[in-house]
Amino acid sequence: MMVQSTPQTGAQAVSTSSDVIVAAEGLTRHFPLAGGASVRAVDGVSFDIRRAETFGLVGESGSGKSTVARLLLRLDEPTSGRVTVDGNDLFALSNRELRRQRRRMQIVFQDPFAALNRRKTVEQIVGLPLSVHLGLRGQARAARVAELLDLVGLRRELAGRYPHQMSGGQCQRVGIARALALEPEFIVLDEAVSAVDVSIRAQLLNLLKDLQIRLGLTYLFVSHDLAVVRYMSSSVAVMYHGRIVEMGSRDRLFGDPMHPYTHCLMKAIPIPDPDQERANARARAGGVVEPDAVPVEGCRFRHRCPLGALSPRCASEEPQLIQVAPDHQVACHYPQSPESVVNVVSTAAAAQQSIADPASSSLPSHRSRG
Amino acid sequence: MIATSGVSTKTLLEVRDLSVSFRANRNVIEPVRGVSLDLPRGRRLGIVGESGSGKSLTALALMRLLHSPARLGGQVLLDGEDLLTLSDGQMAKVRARRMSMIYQDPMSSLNPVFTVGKQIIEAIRIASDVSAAQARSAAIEVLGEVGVPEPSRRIDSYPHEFSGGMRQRVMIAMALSGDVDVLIADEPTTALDVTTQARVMDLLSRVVAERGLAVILITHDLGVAAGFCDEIKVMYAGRLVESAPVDSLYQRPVHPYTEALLGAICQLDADIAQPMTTIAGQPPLPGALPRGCSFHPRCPDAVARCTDEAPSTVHLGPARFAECHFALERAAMSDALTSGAQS
Amino acid sequence: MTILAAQDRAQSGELVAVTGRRSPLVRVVRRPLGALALGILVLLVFAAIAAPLVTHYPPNQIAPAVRFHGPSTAHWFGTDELGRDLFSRVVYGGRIALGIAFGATVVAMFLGVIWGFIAAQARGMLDEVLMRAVDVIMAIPLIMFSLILVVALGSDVVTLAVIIGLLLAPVTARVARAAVLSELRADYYQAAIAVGASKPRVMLGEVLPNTAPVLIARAAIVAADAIIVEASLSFIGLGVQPPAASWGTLTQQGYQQIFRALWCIGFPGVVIFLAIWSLNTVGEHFQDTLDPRGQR
Repeated sequence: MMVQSTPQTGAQAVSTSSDVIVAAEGLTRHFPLAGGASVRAVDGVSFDIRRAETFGLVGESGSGKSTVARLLLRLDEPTSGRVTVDGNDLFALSNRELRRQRRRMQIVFQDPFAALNRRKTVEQIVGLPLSVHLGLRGQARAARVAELLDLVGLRRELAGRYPHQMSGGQCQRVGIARALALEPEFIVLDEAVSAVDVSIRAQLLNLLKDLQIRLGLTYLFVSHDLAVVRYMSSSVAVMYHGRIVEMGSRDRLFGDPMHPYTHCLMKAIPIPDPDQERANARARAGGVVEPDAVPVEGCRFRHRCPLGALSPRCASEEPQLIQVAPDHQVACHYPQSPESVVNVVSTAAAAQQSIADPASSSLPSHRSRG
Repeated sequence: MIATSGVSTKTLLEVRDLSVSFRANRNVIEPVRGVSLDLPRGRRLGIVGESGSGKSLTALALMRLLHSPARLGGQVLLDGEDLLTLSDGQMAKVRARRMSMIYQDPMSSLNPVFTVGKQIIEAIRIASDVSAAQARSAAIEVLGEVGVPEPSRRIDSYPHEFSGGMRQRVMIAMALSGDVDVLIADEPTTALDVTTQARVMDLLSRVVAERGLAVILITHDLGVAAGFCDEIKVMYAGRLVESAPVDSLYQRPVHPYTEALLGAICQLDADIAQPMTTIAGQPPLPGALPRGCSFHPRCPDAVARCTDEAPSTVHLGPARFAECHFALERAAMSDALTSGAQS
Repeated sequence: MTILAAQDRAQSGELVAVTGRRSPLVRVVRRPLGALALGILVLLVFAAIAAPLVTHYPPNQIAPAVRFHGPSTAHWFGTDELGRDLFSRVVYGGRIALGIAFGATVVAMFLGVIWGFIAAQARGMLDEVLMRAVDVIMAIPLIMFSLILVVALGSDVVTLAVIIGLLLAPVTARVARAAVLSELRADYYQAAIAVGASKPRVMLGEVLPNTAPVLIARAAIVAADAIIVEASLSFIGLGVQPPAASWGTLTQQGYQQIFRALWCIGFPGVVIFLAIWSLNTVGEHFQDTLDPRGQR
């Protein structure tokens, strides 16, 4: 574990650089469309992931979270921005250096079957990294593969099976075994438990936590499921249409969510409790129908935001991440708790005024609960 | 709620011992084994299960959308008439006018080369004899009802021009166009984002209430079912292992599988320091069911009897049953616990 | 979508595990049409290889005494205008026709697969250039193009095989490129890159095995096309030259006797039809029975 003394230019200092293993700085990925426009899949995303922690990345489809995951592993090239691993720029590495670097960073995909080559056996699939990097073949490789299968809780006899002969949960464990083959330090879990049944998901979450403790792994946990992200992560970032809208420690973010989109996500989670669900449905009533297009100017969330319609500032100025607590940042002009949002909206409606000035008494702009 | 024979009561749809079987290389596989349920008018029934439980096949069987090599057994009585004995032509009329279905993936259920208007109008005109102009205005109206903005303009858009949530609304519009009595929704929101899912389910709830439809909601998501249904049936290995009104099911589950499933859900207030409660093993394959109770290999409370003897349905009160040898004891215990907690 | 897709695959995968996975060939045979086609194909190939064993008369033996005899027990297919046994001529003709088809297929597949693979994984400019080349060649009528090449390069058997192979390579390139493209989008490809394998290794070791079934099915159809092209060229006199005789040459010779001895063109024609039909059918069925439901 080397301590890098090169300073991080421009990025906000959230932690000392020695315990940051992966950092994204101003990561941007635009996909050009025919006719000059482009899809801004990832737009200026920066965050630090500390060693042995789990960093949760939450968002829905179109948020860019999977694109970020791929960029962190250089499975895609950014339009601009950097990814540093232990202080070294990932995109400045030569092909050879990159292949060596890949040993330390692995990924588990969402679809358990698509992630495995359907024409290969489990032994061949898990053994591929061992062949490529360690030159293992035959008996030696099979032995190591058997150890890995033990590690992820699979019976050794499955080594000769093909993916279509196994269940989703088993295939996902094979994917995890493959990711562990080269003893990496950092694993990206891209919706790794989203495509399996509830009971299997519980098993996989336990397995992942267990492996993290035993092997000292660092995870980037990408998911749309807030409850699972909370269970797994120590730090969380919420993404919306290419930008991070709220980021902080797990307890702060779930204890005191401040961005209207985070509120929206929390109200929308289906809860296996009929009373709670009825309450949530009432809370959701009267919400804004999702538009098809994302605004180009100003805050991307404003068309769906109960406050967005009330303020000209939201329409003209894209909010940047601001610090509302030592471990809590929000990208919103009027961050506040869900209850006060309701108050603000009804007060503004009653007074039929728009929010002209953040200093006006009816609208608090920075407020954290004591 | 059981219909007395010979009289058509308010029970709209009665399913008796429905089964779906396949022949494969001299084996017979039965992914759906003996499913029975009653659906009165206005009732929202949820069928909840994991993959391999047979719930989607059940939905397809009710709509008679399964063809050989699938074989259907049992009876599906819609207002007393057995759908399984109808000819293809008669069944097509039923699908247009009495019973319709919403599918999971709107992108593959909507025809990409036709406008949504054309598809909805087609559904309307199959269901009733109206002129093209009347069908078009009815289509615009139903699009508005499901919350598509600017329906008179969007009616001429193609499916790919809509977002996922909007496409699902279009599907719902199509399903409603025939003024049906029963709606079957097969994982209608699984492919959608969480926030979109919430909105679509809210919409479905509103529309169903306005039209007084009876709904069967098939889902793997217990949270979605909790928010929408009046009554829940839990499906495992092709059979309904528990049935209860929605509040009872979530607060006082009886069957060990239901209890374990509820426990395995990762909730927003889960204790981070504790491991998740899991169900050991995996759901059984349709062709390789365990002897006796199909859940016994994974059941923490299994005893010798569970291996030898398949449990029969134990009735626990109005609209409650469970398939477990110990259903009565378990029900008594959980009722006692709940009332104890309340006092 | 992915949740159900994964669950669907789990279900179908489990059902497959229960019912057992059959090799595509076995599944072709299970369908009656496929079995018939395969049988005919095997028969034709066997006859071509074991020609001396299945024929009584040398194909070029002239016997004026038995000119224009119709089909009989002595001469199964009858005799032609020089008294040569037509059955022998057809069997030996098969050697040439099938031989050329085989050679052309090898050339077309080799060239086309490399062409398509390079285009698929290069993308960008190289991809464009290669695929426009495909378009240009395909825009030229097949027979006309082959005429030009034959006149330029000659019409002995090997040259013919190479020429026909060159002509059929572009379509194969397109098929190969499409097959590879769909694999490149799959997660397992990304996973192999993430694991650190080099691109050539991933293409050959991971992608190629997945495209092999499509390509094999394609090869059968290429072979059928090769037979048609060769037969057409020989029919108009620009393919196989006498005294060698392929099926096409036989139809040309038989055409001149069409009112006098219908069997002279009839049998070669029927055999050509059977060869093409059986290759097409086997190829089609092979493709249909690949990738069981749930695997995309």
